[in-house]
Amino acid sequence: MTEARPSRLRTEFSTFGIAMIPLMIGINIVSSYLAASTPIWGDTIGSQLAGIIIGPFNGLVVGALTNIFKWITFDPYALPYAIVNAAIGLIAGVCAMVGIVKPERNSKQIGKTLLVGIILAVTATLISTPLNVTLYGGTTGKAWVDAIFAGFLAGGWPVFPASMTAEFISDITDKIITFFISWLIYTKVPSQLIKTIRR
Amino acid sequence: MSIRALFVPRISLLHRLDPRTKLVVWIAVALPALIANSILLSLVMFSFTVALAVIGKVSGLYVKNIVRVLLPVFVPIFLIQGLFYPGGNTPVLYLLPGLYFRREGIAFAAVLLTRLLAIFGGAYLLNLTTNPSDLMASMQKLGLPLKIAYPLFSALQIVPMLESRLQVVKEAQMSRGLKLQNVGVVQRLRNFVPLLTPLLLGAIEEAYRRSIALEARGFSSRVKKTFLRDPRITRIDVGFLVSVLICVCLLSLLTFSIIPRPNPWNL
Repeated sequence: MTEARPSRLRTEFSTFGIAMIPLMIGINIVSSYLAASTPIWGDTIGSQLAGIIIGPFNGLVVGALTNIFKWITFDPYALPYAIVNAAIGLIAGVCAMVGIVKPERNSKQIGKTLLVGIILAVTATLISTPLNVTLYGGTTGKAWVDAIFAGFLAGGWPVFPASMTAEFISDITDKIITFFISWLIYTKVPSQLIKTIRR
Repeated sequence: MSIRALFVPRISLLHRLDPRTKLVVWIAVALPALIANSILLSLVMFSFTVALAVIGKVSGLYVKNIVRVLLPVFVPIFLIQGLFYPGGNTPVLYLLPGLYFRREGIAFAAVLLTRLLAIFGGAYLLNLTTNPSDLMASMQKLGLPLKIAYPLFSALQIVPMLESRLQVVKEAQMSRGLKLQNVGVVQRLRNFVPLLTPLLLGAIEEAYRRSIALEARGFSSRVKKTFLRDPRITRIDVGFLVSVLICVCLLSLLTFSIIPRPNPWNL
């Protein structure tokens, strides 16, 4: 096991692995454009795919750098959420590494994919909520989520639980759908190609 | 939407500074706003960044874009906190019976928003006046490995390339009968798979090509790398930094001395 860790990092960050990072950042950004007209965020599909196909640490770096990239280009608010995106890439990658997520299309896999989606949603909520509350008083910037948050506040809830519940409702939709999409894409990548990448 | 670095090339003192200096300036401006619970202090710090933007000859753009980016955040925060803030309910303005703006909520929202102005304003100013390649070079001098700096920097070229490739994939899939226009949310979500799969496969191909190109240029070789752009800390940087720090301290002290007590509006 002591031997295994450096060699895993070395394969994930081979020259090919590093050349993949900016391209997966691009997939994150492009899919968040596609998601603009839907209720999901969609900005973690690239991190998830990098985690699944190349490895968890690569997914982590793709996630973190995506938000840093958004910060230096068009979105001054993206920087703090780099932690969330990094965690999503890492967890998606770990789930693929330990064999929970496999590129097989059957009902058992669909169930496992949903489960991973829920894990991702819980993680994202736990990390995002403190950021939302300290930076934006609990609002998130997506109108329908903020409407739910306002509803809870009007019902007499304190800020933190209200923000957390609203965030969780949005994350559970987003992460289940996006992870399902990532898994569908994963099933479509030729298995020989994936073997070549992971070699 | 198209990706373009926020950087605006001008000839100014601010542009000539080392990115590390500007990083410290940002922290110096953001810290008082972050610590203090004061609208006035945050506003003073933001005005200070505007003054810096004037030095950097980007003030018009700076103010315009900050307003444009902040407004969509501003409106929901102000409405939600003003109407539903649970920390207190001193009525200020009635909208409907039972639905009113609360003083505590408005004060809380104002603190948050002015703080956002100061913190994100400083960060935006840094990006606005710093060439991304200089930023990368100084990040590497601060110890960021090339293996992290390269992907971030090359993403600036790759993302626009992927955007135009997405357009090609869209047209190709439409010609095969995929419905992309005037469809419901479910179909839009389904479309992610046929649109992103070719993009991913193309990305893998591209990454192989690029990894060979990188190695041909000695990417992994263990020699000391040289920089094409080489920002250095000069006497101008030190002088600028010292004067900024003095200004920030003086402004903070001055603001604190004029804040009224008691302070129900978080001024």
